[in-house]
Amino acid sequence: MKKNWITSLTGILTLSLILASCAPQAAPTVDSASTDIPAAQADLSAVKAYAVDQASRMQEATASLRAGAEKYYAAIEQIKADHPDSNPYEYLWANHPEAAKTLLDKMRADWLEAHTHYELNEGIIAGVPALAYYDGWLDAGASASEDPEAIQWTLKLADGTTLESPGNFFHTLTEPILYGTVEKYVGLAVDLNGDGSLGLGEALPEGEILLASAQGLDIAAQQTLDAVNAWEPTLEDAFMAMITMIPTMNEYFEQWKLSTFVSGNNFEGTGFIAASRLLDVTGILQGLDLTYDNIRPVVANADPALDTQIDAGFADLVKYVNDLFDKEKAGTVFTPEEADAFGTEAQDKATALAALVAQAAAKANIPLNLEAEGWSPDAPPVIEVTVPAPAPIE
Amino acid sequence: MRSKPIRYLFIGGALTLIAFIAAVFLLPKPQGTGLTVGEDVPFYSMPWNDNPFAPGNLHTADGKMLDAKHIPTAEFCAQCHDKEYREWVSSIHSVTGPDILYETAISNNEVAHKNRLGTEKIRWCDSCHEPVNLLMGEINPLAVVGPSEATAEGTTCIICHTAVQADPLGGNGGLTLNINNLNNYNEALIMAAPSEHAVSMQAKTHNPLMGSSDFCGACHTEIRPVEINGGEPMLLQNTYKEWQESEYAEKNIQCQDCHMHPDPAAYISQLNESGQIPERIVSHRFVGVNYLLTDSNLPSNLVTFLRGGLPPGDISTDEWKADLLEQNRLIRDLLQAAATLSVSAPESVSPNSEATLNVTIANTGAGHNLPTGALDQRHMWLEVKVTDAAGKVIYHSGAFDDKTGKIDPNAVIYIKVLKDKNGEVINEHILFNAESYTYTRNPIPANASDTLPYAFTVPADAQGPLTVETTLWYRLALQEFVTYSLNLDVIIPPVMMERAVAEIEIK
Repeated sequence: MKKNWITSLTGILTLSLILASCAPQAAPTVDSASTDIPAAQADLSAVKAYAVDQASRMQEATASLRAGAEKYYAAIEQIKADHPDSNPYEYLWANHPEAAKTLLDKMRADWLEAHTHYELNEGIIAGVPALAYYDGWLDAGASASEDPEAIQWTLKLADGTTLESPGNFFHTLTEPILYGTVEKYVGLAVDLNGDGSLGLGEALPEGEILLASAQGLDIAAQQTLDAVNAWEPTLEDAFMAMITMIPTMNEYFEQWKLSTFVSGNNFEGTGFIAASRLLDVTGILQGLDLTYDNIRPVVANADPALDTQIDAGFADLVKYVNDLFDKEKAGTVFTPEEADAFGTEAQDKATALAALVAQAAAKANIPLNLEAEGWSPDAPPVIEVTVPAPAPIE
Repeated sequence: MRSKPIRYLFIGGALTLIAFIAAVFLLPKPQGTGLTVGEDVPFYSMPWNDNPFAPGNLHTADGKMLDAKHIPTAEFCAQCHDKEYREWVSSIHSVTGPDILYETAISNNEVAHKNRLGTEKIRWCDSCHEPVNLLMGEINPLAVVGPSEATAEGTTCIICHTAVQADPLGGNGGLTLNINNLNNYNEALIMAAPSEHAVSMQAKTHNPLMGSSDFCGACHTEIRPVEINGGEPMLLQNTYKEWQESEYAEKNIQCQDCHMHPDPAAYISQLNESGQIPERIVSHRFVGVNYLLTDSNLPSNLVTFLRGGLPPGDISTDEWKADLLEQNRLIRDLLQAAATLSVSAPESVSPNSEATLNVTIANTGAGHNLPTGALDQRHMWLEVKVTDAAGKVIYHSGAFDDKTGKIDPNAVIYIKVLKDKNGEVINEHILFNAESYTYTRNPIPANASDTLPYAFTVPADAQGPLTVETTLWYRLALQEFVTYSLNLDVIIPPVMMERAVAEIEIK
């Protein structure tokens, strides 16, 4: 009797399972945008405080880099005045190698500091239309030779040379200048690490371009800080930053794949030598994750489940790229194939997350202007160098 | 006592079977899975009208967008249709989107119209090239939809197999897809009711459109819409109409008869030799002319790069590359079956005299113009080389420099020259900027021919007999596109379509 009962139950269960599998799949139930969302609290002041803090720390580092560049330029000018027949870079390296190396190391450290704080802020600055101009000028813009629609600005060097739209400060100017990856920016190739050979990045920078670029970077950093201080963040800014910046993973992973940080590359670029592109990815996500944390109440109010999904999506993506970056910092050198695979996976996670954020914006009735044109100055900036007096290197 | 459990089991099984059949035939069909712009796909830009797929001509039967979660990938279909999957995966249809040449061309056009709705205008191109991406709302200035495995599959199974209506003269992806009302593609249901599955997948036995040229014409007619660059619509590809006006259409020979034949060159040969229309045999290789993206013998694994990565589905790299080579062979055979060359030369010439000859290219194998398609890139040219008995070249037109990829500028070449508003030639497929175009020489319609006169002076010291060697070449893209847009240090090799030789005595 017991066996009969079990057999019947098995039959019923089988029937139920099959019926369940046969049942028509429910249509996707994505609710339409809510029309009456009660006001919810978003702490945008915390987002602004974060942005101001990062911009301030970036500017402190650019000011220090500027001071180093002025010291370097003054030393070169002093040598030119004292030893007019000498190559000033050869003279500097022959007579003050330690001082020159210490100064260069300090400038590189300042550059890394400034760049890191920028990357931690990039998700916000590049994603907010009112601030995005500074992303192009500082970090992402192409030169006029690469893009006819490049940001227009002028850099005037102390020797009278004028550079029209030479690109962005971090990656087309200061990084290749400080790391010697563009021949015309090299004062003298030197054996900085003392291993008896001249490797990638072993060079004293050319003084004129270094001075102008470092001063320009500091001016641009100050203007960025001013703009961030003046910025009055809105929910639209916050959502726009997330939706536009989260899906940019592919581009960064592609640049990472082609950089010196990934194995087997015959490096032919000029930028992305000082810091891994994974820093950019983690930095961007940190700023955006913080932004989301501060607008969560708005999303949770509109759709608590969606809020949980987005939060989990951020956690997953941030962990994914942080793990990669940690492994790289610990010495793992990935192959281009691995970089491709990681990039694809990160992009899939990012695209899914951005789509959820877009859904959230719709449900919270946040109006996003797809054609919003960002702020740009009335006239293209002109940076004119301030020439320091010659002085011996300490 | 021992028979009772077995009886119950039989009863349970019978009930299960009855319920299963009831579920298949009696339960209500699944609700449409389409998504609505705004509600389900927020912040989707529609700058021209309320058609989310404009300015392309692709439509869904219910007018809604696609929820990619609800469609099967090719990998899914391959579980039962392995043969068709293996044919398709080495075809060009499987990479209409991921193909690097296409991706590059798209990027060129999008950048050219940056801040002028460049992204939205790409929907025109993606109507045929990346239909899944377009239908699900991925082609948008903001990322508002999640990823889908099917977006990497180009023209994947489900696109063609849900088409219920075609607009071959309107082109630009002019298909209507019943893609948001798929019957459940659950494996168990498919196995239980295969005929139902065949109906919902528009098998040709149920939907004549699948075997008709009208179906192909939806994408093999390309007309640039006014939304792209103003002005009038610009006819850019006209392959369907070329077929429609040919004897092939009169004889009811459809695109599928040849291009979906397992060996199109053999089909043409059989057709030309017997005059009878061969039996229709269907393969999903869709053999065309793209000999580059199927050449797995290219160095440095170039074919994988050009195709945008490894294929979807469960196929080993070795098997895939072997399939690609077979596809490549079929393509080259088809190109060689498309035309015949003949040389009309004098029997003899005198030293110091001018010799004339005529070379005739006959379109004897294509049911459309020769060449056809995207003729701002694809081109065909004639090489004529005359040598004397000592091997001295006394005339040469149409030489190809395999170091630079350049063709003799004086060659007789069949290509469309696109120009922008400043009159500059567009070599990098930026169709968004085209203002006008001219053909250097009109393509040759089906069953027609083109005769080209050549003349040269016979040197006083030429040793007879002279050998006239004529070669018809085909090339997939301009070298400028590969060099400047793809930034590849690769010379695109041409394919020989036909060769004819004649001798001339010297008296």
